Amino acid sequence: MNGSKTRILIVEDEKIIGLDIKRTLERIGYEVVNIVKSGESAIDLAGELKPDLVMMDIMLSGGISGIDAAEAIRRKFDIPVIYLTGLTDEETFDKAKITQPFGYLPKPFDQKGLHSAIEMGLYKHKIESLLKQKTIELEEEKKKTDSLLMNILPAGIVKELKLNGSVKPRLFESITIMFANFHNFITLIQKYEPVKVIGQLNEIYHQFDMIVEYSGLEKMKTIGNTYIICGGLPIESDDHALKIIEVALKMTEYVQRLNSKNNHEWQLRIGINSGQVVAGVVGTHKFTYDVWGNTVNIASRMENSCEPGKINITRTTYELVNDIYDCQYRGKLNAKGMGEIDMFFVNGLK
Amino acid sequence: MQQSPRILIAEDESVIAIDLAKTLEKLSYKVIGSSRNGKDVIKKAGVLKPDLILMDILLDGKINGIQAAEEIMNTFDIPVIYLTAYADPATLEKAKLTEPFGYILKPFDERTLHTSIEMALYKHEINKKLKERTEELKIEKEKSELLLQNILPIPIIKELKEMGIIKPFDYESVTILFTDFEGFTQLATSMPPGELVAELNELFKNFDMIIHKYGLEKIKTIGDSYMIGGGFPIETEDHAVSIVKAAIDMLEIVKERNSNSKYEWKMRAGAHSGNIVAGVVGKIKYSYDVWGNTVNLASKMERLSMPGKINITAATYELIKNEFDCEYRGNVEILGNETIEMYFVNGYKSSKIKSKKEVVPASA
Repeated sequence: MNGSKTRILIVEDEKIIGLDIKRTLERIGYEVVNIVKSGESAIDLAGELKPDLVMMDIMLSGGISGIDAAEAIRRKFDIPVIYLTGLTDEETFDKAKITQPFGYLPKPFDQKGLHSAIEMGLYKHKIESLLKQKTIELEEEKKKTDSLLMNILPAGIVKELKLNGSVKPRLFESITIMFANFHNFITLIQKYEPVKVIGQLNEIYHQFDMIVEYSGLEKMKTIGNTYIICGGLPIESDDHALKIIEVALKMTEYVQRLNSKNNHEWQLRIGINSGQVVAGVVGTHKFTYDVWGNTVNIASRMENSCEPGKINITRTTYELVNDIYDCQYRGKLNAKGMGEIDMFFVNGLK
Repeated sequence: MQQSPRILIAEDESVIAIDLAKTLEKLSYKVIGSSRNGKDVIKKAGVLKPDLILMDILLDGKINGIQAAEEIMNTFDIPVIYLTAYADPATLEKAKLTEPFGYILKPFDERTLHTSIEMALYKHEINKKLKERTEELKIEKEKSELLLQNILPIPIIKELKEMGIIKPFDYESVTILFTDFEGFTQLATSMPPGELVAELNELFKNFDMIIHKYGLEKIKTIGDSYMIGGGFPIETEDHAVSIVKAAIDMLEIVKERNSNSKYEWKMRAGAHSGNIVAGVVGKIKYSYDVWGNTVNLASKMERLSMPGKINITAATYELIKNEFDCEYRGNVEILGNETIEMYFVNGYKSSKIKSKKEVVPASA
């Protein structure tokens, strides 16, 4: 006990017994906050007085039963209830058990029995509340762990990691990868307050994230002012190129709207390529899910060879999307270190 | 409880022991043994693993009930209820210290015995659960903290927890280093995916340890490229020196790896020092990142480096020249008509304890 007396509410319809309990409780050193006769007023007073414990006669004359009142008090106010049972009718006893009381006290009771029943009831309530609280905290912490893990790895990979304890590197035959880059970023940082520019970049990334989240594609990472997403991994799909183009168009439109509305000058270049990659998890600190292969390098070069506001794709991607998207052939253009590559701009839906 | 709880009796007076056993059986507990000697009780507790022990404080032999109870609770985590004929305060006080699960004063009645046992079993069970839950919670908290550290630098996590928000921040003087492997794509296509990722993972894991050793910040890996920084989020004076030290160690790791592996990794490194903005961006897969010309220039230094070499700008050179031997590469063209002065770091100055010269022969 924390110095102050334990406060007890008595629910007993027989006045003499009620007073007797009160006297005994006070002799032990408890405070009796009130004696009530009905289940209804027991619920009301429990809410109003917030006692530490309720002593409840199971058999109350008229109105709701002691069992129903106890159930309501426990549920609404989380106050422990100890039953006073004058009868040993088994059916009532079983019913009382369902309400998970914190103790039973058969009548007639003695002071010692009353004392230990109350102490045990309070102890049970305290420790069970503590256990409940720890369980809730644990659930919350597990959710936190999950969401952090999801911030690092794709959902499918998190699942594999949990199931097998490790992630197996894999070759994906056909995926699409997109590099989106604000190519005038350094100019913006030099022209305006850098911290503010980063703040705006963060807002744009949030918007991009929402577009990507909605599409079901995988955000790989951002590298400074470059935003990278993948389609067709870690779960293989047939429409990865189409989905990437759809997202690329949405991003381009968003940046255009932003620029016209706020007089911004964000120049977004998007490069896309399709092909095979190896994907896996590397590192101990800041471990990450990543992709490797020439497909990735070419996608990056496609972004380099793009023009602001445009979406530049390779022939491989073009073959996968040209039924649905209107594309414009740009010719064989030089991609740094890769020789000449066929390039196409995506204009929009056919 | 589906099965009746199994109880061990420790009592030196056999009449009482028998009476107790009878009462317990009547209450539908299972008496699995009885003992009159302290040493024997401990042994039996370990062998029989009862759910509960009723322990007389006075026992035969050198070990009394309190000592036996203490040993049993510590070693086997079995709850003990004391049976005591007398209420000698000193003994009770001593008994209390062992945190028993109850006392029963002799002569006992059936009802007291019953409630005391139920209470003891309940207390033991729920305390066990509480302990387990607390332990699980601790483990889970450590897990989530480690994951958070996988996303954000520790000082940034602290800021996030204290302020609830992380603002981008200007740093006047930091050093950024990039490394990558020349010819990686060709090497990658010649390797099975599992082996490729395992090789990279092995190298990066070692790099991670080096970074940790020098108190530097790993920013991220980008494919085969490893990106680190020094001088932020906590500002330091010696960021350039630490970065170069780390780069030397990393090249050393690669050299070692190459000597016992069928693959040859040709790592090049490049660094530059200057100002950056650092902050956290994104909603999903948010990350801590750096921006500014310093970053771009560092990346360029890496591309203009050579296998086994650390290529630095004049800005970094000025910060490390007292500690390292460097070789001037001249004014090299980087973009159109822009030029920049570059240096190769050859190693620690010969006066320094560590003396490492050429790390890997430059064979591009």
